Amino acid sequence: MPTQIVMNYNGDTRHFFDASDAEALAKAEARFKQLTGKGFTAAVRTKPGEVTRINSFNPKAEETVFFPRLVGG
Amino acid sequence: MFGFRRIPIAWRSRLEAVRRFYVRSPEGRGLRLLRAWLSPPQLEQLDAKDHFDVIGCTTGRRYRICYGTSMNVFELDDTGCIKTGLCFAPAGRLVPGDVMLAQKIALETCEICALLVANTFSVRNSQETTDAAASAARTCGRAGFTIARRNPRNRQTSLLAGSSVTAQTVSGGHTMTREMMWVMGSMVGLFTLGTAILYVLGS
Repeated sequence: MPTQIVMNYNGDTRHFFDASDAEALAKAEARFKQLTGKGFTAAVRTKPGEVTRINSFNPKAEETVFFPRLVGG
Repeated sequence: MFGFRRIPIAWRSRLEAVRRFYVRSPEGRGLRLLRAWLSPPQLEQLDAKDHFDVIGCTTGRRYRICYGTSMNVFELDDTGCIKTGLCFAPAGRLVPGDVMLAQKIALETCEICALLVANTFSVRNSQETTDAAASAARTCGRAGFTIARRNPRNRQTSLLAGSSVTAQTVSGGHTMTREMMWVMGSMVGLFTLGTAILYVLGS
């Protein structure tokens, strides 16, 4: 089942959704837009160990990870 | 003395890693996520040495990401020695596994974005290479290491020039060793103590 993984202080929060359900898909897309609007970066795993950054919602991605914007330490 | 023997350091480190991974804690969850997203060679390297290497997508430079949340990324030279340290991380309080994964994704998918926000620090003890230096430097400035932050105004220029700049050559940068900080701390402490004594004697 496709999953959106949002990194936070608890480790991460996972949102599962059914890609065949239009309502769930719309919710997932809205979440994607909300997070990327806040400055989160979204990335998907294409192969084991290989990641790609995405700028638009990909309903076919099995796992999408979101992490907050980068800052210098 | 009582028949107890100290566990060797290597075993302790391994036991600590296992504990961190299996305990149902935010840290454990972060590490599980990181492990799921690493490539097999990176995973092997993480298990063996507590760090893994990534290749920058734009410049092709090699970086080493050590276990930690800050000052844990190092640029490597052609021989695999640590050239300079990079300090960048996702905003907010995240666990080490998440921070390391974000750093990996950033370097592998948008290296320039990461380099633009990163502050650099030099690892002066260049005799120490690879593993020892990485593990020592990730604890951020133990004795023998000097942390030199680069002036943000110069960051972009030096990035475009593609050179690693040391503390001495950066205009506007500053260098402060741990020893200097200890001396300053002691002086402030003594001054406070002296003031308190004078106040008590005066009253």
